[in-house]
Amino acid sequence: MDLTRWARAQWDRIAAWLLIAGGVITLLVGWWGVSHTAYLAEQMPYLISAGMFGLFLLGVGATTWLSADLRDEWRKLDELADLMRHR
Amino acid sequence: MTRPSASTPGHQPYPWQVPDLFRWFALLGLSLVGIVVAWWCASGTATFNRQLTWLNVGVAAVVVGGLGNMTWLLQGRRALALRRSLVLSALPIAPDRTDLSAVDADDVRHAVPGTKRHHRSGCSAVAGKQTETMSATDHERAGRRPCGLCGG
Repeated sequence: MDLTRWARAQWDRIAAWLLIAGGVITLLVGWWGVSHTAYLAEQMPYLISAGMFGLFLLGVGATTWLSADLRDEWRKLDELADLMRHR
Repeated sequence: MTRPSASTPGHQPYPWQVPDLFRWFALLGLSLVGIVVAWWCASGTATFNRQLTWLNVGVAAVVVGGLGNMTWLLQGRRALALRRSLVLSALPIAPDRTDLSAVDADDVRHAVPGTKRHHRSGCSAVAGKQTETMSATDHERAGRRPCGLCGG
């Protein structure tokens, strides 16, 4: 299958993977930041920015992936309804 | 809010409508703003108690984002379930079980309880006797073999 066509059809799954990858990278950056200082006051901003934002990205990524599944089922129902209309 | 019918031409290509998308984006935006504000305020102070307050704000912001995601998915699932029930209810009804049993009638075999042979209907070996009636496969599963007279 043509890669461009596949990417256009599966844009939401690609976006989901990018968001999940972004979330994981952000969490790793946060862990790196926290582990390089012994002061709690310096660790807290990393926890809030990288930790919370990483979780946010993971949540949006998972939701986008599940949305793609729902969209697929919606399209199958479309095909079924079309078949019935043209019988 | 109007929802699509099973076979209305020109309905939306996704289970969601534009207001659903706006609601999702609004909650995600609110969540992002909350995270940024929490980070900004927490990094501007060195007092642990104040930072803890802003950490709570950050957690609340993530929860708001989660609620947005959940609402979005529930909305999609609800629209999909409605559409599925509409489409499936419009499908032609499948043949019922009585039709199938008529097709299988040729496969019916008889056996006298306690014996090791099964027979076709009308076989003289079981004529006038009390029999168990099952399919040939079920009789063979019960350890019976075909009758030598009728061929089972």
